[in-house]
Amino acid sequence: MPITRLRRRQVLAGMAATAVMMPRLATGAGNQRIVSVGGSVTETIYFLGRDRLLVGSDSTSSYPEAAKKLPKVGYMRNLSVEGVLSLEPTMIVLEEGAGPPVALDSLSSVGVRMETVAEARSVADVVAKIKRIARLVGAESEGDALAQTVADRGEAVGKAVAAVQSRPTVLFLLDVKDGALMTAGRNTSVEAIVALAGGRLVFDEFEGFKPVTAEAVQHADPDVILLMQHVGHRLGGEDAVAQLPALAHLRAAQEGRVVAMDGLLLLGFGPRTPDAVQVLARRLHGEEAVPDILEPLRAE
Amino acid sequence: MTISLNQVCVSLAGRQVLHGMDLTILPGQVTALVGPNGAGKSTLLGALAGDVPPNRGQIFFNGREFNTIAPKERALMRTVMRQSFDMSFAFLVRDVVEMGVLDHVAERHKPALVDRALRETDMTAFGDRQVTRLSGGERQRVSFARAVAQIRSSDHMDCARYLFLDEPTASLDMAYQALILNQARAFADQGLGVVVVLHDLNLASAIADRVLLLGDGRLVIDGRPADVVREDILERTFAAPVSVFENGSARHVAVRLGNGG
Amino acid sequence: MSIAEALPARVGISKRSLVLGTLFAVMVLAGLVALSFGAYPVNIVRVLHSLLTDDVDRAGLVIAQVRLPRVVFGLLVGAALGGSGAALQVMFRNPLADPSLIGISSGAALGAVSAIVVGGTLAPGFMAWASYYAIPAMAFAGAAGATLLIVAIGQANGRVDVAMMLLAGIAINAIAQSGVGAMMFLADDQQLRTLTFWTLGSLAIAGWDALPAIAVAILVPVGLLAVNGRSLNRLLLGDIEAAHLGVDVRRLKRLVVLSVALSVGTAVSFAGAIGFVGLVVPHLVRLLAGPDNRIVVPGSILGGAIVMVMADLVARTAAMPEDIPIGLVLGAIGGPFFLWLLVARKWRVL
Repeated sequence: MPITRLRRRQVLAGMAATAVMMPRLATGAGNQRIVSVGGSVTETIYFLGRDRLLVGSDSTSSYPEAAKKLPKVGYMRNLSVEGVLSLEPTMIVLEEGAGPPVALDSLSSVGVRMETVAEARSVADVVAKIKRIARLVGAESEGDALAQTVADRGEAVGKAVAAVQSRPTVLFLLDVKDGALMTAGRNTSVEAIVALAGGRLVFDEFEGFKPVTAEAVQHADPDVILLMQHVGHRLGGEDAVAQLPALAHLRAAQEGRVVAMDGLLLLGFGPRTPDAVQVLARRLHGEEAVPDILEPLRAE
Repeated sequence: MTISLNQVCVSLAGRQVLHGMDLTILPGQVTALVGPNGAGKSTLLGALAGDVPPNRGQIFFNGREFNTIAPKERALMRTVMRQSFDMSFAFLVRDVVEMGVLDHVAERHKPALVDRALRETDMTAFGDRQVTRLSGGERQRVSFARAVAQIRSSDHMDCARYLFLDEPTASLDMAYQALILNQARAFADQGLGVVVVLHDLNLASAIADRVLLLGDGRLVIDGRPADVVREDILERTFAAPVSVFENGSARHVAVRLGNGG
Repeated sequence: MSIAEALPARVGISKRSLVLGTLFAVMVLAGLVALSFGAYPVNIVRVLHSLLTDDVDRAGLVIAQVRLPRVVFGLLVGAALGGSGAALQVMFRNPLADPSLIGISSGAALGAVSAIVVGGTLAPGFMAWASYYAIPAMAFAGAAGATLLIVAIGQANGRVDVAMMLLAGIAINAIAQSGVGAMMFLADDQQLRTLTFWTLGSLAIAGWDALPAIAVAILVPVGLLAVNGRSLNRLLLGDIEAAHLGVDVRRLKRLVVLSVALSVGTAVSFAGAIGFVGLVVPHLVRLLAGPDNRIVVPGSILGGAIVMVMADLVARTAAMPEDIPIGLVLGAIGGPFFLWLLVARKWRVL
């Protein structure tokens, strides 16, 4: 069987050869073949006008519509090594948290250039993220412009939100499983976006995403229930969510204050973050309290 | 070379089953172990076979203590036929008999040995049947065929060998009772020390050179059938009214039923 | 009864050679087929040729660094699970036994989930040093710990009491599973996902680094099991009967448990909790060739390798480019298949 005749030397020689070939392919920026992992990374590349460099993305890359048509390499945290490699990428740009570690190790051992982009939790983080991605795809000037736009929009929304007095409490519903509600606590992207929108998470005793009992939810008595749109669809729509046994008795449910937003928009912390903040803030505080000051930002 | 027990006491699950056993098993003889239920016959057989270590006293097997004899070597020197065996897989009779053929036998000689064992125990017709589908009596016969295979594969040994049979006739028709006991006799004539636990005193009288009568974990009497199978001794040990009829060299034991004698 | 009984040649050794030889050939074929397909399209003949002539291109690299290690790993994991399942079925004298009975899978899960959830906080130095070996190392420690505990409980008067082991196994499994549950409760979303994927199993492996050690830790124990076929047959008659036939019963049982613990512990540590193979493959081999463990144990080693590598092929290619967790593939195919097997047996079709 051929296995026994493989020589490590040959393989390493091959690796070295490929590694040597890599940078030469990369410096010709227009010849790059990029796989982007992470919805906000893909989104940013589209905003930077470099989407023609993309040869594939992960399944969380859902914006813009065109991104959905890119070849998929699996779920962000469960990438397929061969799937990625079959697209012959020159570089993989990954959002922090991509995995599994085995796959990432495997990819680097084949000599593929991997660049990780740190998670963003604030407008300032988003600005840094945009600039980093811009450098990677050779779009520095577009990157600076986009970063400035996002910073300005962020500041404008920030001012509008700051002017509002109320600070409603928000229950984030990640999922309902076996009757238990999975919700978000401290140190999550949910906490960050809710804070930016002038709200407050109703649960701040724990970190991360945890299951909570219906009694705890009842006791917490949130002003608003927030969830991601695809979860809402799965549960049957905002009305069905309001009628879930664990939520039905809540003030927020009975008064129809259930907010469903697109997951990538809400929690992606990409260039549309200020838009997300505005949409959320208008739902939290009411449309009179927060004016619609932003022209929607769209990628072509 | 003999098996000698020296003040052997054996306890099982915390209960003392055998008390101060002193006896010697000689090769070339058939020794019957008889006695009431719970007297310790099977336990004694187990001790002789090296299954149960005594908690007091010593057992010397061909001059050596059991724990100095490795399992493989023991298998060459003694063969045991127990009342039943487990089997939850679809082995054939010939497969089970082959398990008795000891490892030193070359692969190419094994089939012949198995066939011989099957022939000598009149089990050839059963060779290709699944053991899980046999009756209790048929399985007992398979057990015996396996024991024969084991003995045949150690025929080259020049030390004393022993055959232990625990109630070998329990579920069998008379024809097969006769077959097994005659074969046991033949082995004894060939030089093996045969020890057989028997419930049936008639069979014991007919086949044994020597009878060990056990009662309450002790040796009540050790002697020839004529000396042991006697009304007074049996009535005392079995606590039942017993009649013993002699017919030449044969003895017939019967329990007296009804009232009066 | 068994298919091989219908074959004209029923003489002992040639039946064994026939069955094992066939299984070995099928395994090699399965390996080559698995090597030929994957998300990355290659012409395998061309690639193998290029690898042998020192002319490595990208395709060759993918095969050599990504697919081939995975196929080899799959063969090893399958061998561990198949061989261990067969040996445990003998030791427990029960055709429904499986390595999970002696706490390996749940112990490994507890180790793995502890590494995932609290490893970073309790032992950050170790986690950083071990990097992606941290989870397998902790999983192995968990598997070994659970098994040793069960064996210790099962030892009474120098005898290995299998019934006690079964009961101890139930208890340890329950404890480990509640431990896993507690960890899952403490876990954050990301850790939970990592754990879920670990639990469902995956043969993804990063290159060749760990494979030599894995190979030794698997092949040596299953090899020992394979050469003890005759003694395992005798063990089926009962502990005392086996001893009468020359088997050192205590040593054999210890050998079985330790071999199973080492081989399956290693496999499960790296591949996650994978079931079914240990239970079903020995059955299939018995169906094919009868219950003789001189055939069943080595046959299950080869058969397990075949099943594993084929299941992984499906896992890698059924939903390209996504990787389906292999536990799902085995369950989806193995479950109904096993059910069919039981029903067919019941109706005496087989």
